[in-house]
Amino acid sequence: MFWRRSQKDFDDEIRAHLELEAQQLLREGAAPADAYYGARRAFGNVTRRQEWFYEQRRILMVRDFISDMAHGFRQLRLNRSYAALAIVTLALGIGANTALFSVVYAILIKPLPYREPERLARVWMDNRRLQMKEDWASWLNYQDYKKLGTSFESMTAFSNSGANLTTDGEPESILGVRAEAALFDQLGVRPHIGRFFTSEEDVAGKGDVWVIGWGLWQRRFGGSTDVLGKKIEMDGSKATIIGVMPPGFRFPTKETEFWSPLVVPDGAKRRVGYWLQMVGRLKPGATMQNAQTEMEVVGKQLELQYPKENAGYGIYVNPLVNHVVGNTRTPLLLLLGAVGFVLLIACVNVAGLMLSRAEARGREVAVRAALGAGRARLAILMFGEAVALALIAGGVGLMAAWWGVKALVMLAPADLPRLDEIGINLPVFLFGLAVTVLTALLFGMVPAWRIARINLNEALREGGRSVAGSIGGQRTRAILVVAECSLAIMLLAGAGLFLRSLFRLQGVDPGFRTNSVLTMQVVASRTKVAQPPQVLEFHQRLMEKIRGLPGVTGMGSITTLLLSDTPNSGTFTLEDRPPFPEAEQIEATSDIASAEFFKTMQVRLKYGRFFDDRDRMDGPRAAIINATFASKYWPGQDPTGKRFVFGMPRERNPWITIVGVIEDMRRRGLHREARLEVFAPLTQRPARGTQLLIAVNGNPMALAAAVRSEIRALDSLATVTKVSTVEAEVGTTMAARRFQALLLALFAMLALVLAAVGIFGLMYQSVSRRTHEIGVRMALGAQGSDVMGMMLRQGLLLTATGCTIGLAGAFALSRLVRGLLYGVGPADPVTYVAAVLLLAAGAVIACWVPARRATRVDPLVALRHE
Amino acid sequence: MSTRREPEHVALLQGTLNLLILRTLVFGPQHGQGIARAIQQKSEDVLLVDHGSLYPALQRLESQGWIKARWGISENNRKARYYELSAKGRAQLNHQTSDWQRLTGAIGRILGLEQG
Repeated sequence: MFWRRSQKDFDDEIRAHLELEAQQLLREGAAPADAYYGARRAFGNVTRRQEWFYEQRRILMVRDFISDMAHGFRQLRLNRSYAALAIVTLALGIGANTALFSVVYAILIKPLPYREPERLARVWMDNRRLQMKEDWASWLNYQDYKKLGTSFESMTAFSNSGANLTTDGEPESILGVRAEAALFDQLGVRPHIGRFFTSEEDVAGKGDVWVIGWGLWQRRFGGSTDVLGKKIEMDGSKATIIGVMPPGFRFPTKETEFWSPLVVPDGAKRRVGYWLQMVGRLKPGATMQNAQTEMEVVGKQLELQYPKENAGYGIYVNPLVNHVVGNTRTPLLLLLGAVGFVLLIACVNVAGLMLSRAEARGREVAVRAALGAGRARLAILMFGEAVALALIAGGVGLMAAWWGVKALVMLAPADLPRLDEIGINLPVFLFGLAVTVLTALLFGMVPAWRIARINLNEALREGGRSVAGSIGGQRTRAILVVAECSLAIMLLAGAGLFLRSLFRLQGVDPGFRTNSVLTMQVVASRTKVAQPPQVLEFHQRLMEKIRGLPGVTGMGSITTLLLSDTPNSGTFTLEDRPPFPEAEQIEATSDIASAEFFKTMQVRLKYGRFFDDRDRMDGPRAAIINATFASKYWPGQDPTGKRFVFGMPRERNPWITIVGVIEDMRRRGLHREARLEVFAPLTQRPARGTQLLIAVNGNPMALAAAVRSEIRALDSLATVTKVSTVEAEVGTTMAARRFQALLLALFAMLALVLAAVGIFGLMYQSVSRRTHEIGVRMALGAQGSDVMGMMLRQGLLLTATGCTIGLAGAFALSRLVRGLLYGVGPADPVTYVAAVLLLAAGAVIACWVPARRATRVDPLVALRHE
Repeated sequence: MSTRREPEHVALLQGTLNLLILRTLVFGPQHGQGIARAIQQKSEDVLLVDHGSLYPALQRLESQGWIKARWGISENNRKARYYELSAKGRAQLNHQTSDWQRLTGAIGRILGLEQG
């Protein structure tokens, strides 16, 4: 192609032409002296042709852009403070964006480690009785889902399981699942070593085989391959390890550490009894929407066919990825958007800086233009500098991102999915690079656009001044200020809404004591503590021992203090009204609490009494209900003495008497109201596993070791897990909100500072460009205060315009995050006013300093000002 | 410089230079100076072609792929860059020639120079 042709080749051709023409002229009889000149005359301007060729190549050569960039680097070296300011600003923006993107990538974008993960879905029973969209299913319902769900290529079931490991070191309780053998093939995974179990092993008696997770393998077996075939003991039962999963495999949750065959006893093959979770693989070409529609029909059909068992139970199909990602998508995208705004503000700042530099170079640019550089060429020259800046900033930003990622992982709530996969990897690096290039285009555009519009004649005639102070320059500057203000206000308002939500939430009364309470989950071993009376004795002796420890003021226990998403619950019948029709049945949660639980946790009693010695094993069944339960059925009345049962009253299901009503406890997180809750006394329902709550004077964690050794002394095979404080446990329910609010606040502060610096810079330039004008005004009698007023008015008018646009934007965007707020509306006036005041304060300072400078202008100097 | 004008010369219409170059190359490969001379002679010195202005046109034609270039030796043993018509160029020439004939025919008819 012709642009690969060298200049020399072209020059050679022209020389050849001239010689050929001269020879021809000689042959035609010209005098030798005239022939050469004749040839040149016929050719026209030789140098012009050569230059034309040169220019043609130049536009097309990337090499020239690189030389522009080199020019850019030289310029940066000459203006270090300008370069440093621009680079720090951009690096902050690029670094923050890259770091946050690493989180977004790991959680939302990186495919799940299964074969064609987009075809995998979790299938749930949609429990309308309990408003639980993701509930477990019964065996016979699962069989029907499987048979009737034609959108699915395959469907398999599994169920939660747990074990107390009692060999090879400290007893430890771990979580796992029992699954059908087809699960692994359906997911498309391979074991790291060993094998999976087969469908033959799905039968009782043969099912004592385990596939273990990477974490358990490393922690307890030192990652040794000897583990295959090893027999492990779990509190009386045994199993053989047959395989180890690779590190990234955490199905269905990251807490899952073993997988064993789902053995279904014949007694469990029923229509009721909800214990199965399902995962399905869609047929190729089927969509999640198809599957959901189809399964809804299946659900309706089963409701009609088995009204007694299935009324109120539908089917819900949810893509597996949603289950993994959870509810982190919206907050993460929100944070990514927020950090994008920070980068935009950084770009506007640097655009402002470059604009002033471009204008200061107005004369140089004009001279270049006069010497024949095209406008496009000049614009590219500005871009060269922009790219040079962005590349340095990108490098610094990536380093900052490396630290940023570490900080983010540290700050992130522990239950953030795929937390350990967050890091700087190739896609994240490429994103950082793309952001860098985009940044250069964004902030390089403004000066390039201005340069392309410089009026050459004026620029050359009057030197730099008219270019610099031109109307166009002022207008561009005004637009930049408005843009910065509106972006900053959106971030400030957003952060404000989240912070207010968090404060509101922290002010919520949970209904139980949170400070200075040590807590841990204890499971007594089946081997040492076999029968209910022994379990009760274990609890009583444990309480005596622990109460004897110094600093302990009380101890209670409950199944679990905070409720999981799938708590133990059931439908019920009230004695004083007819049984509810199936469609109206709702469920109440059921927990077992010790008599001392309520006193230790300072739960308030509304009616009746707490549990006491009257609630003996052989006495009438007693229960405490919460206020929500009481007011639903007996509003304004004291329901003590009323009776109910879980399920239907039968001979072996005796009536339970309500002995007390407690005020609600927010056991599902502070942001959620309590639902219908029932508590049974430990003395009547001794449970091997329970959560201890130990109120202490002083630091709760300091007592943990002593409590643990007391437990060990009573039962050497008991497992102790989740040692923490109630305060920390409640805190984890707010961890995600705290993380979001913290990051947003950080970004908003960054935005505020950047915007203030940007406004300051732009106003400062504006003042210095208008020195001459100010001089004229003062010479004509304007006072210092007039000039200052003028400058302030100008700055604040722009700020106000920016605020207005920003508030409108914030209002529009806040609707998207309504679901993430607590106790504040998306249009919370307090937040908006505070955001405006904060920005206004920043803007006043940013305008005041340059305005002061304007008043100190000496008219004589100013008039001579170039 | 390029606006030098002598009474017997007519300046080229814009765009016609390409057509003239392509037409000249129908008779075989030729170098730049040869093309310039050929146009001058064929037009019986009526058309003025600034030899230098030939080169941007040649570059354009080459980049469009209508002509190909290679270095060769001239009849009097001088190294010169020879241009040759490509198949694409030949098609282009036919197309442009017929366009030109229709244009001049039409203009001629309007000016009343050509009968019937």
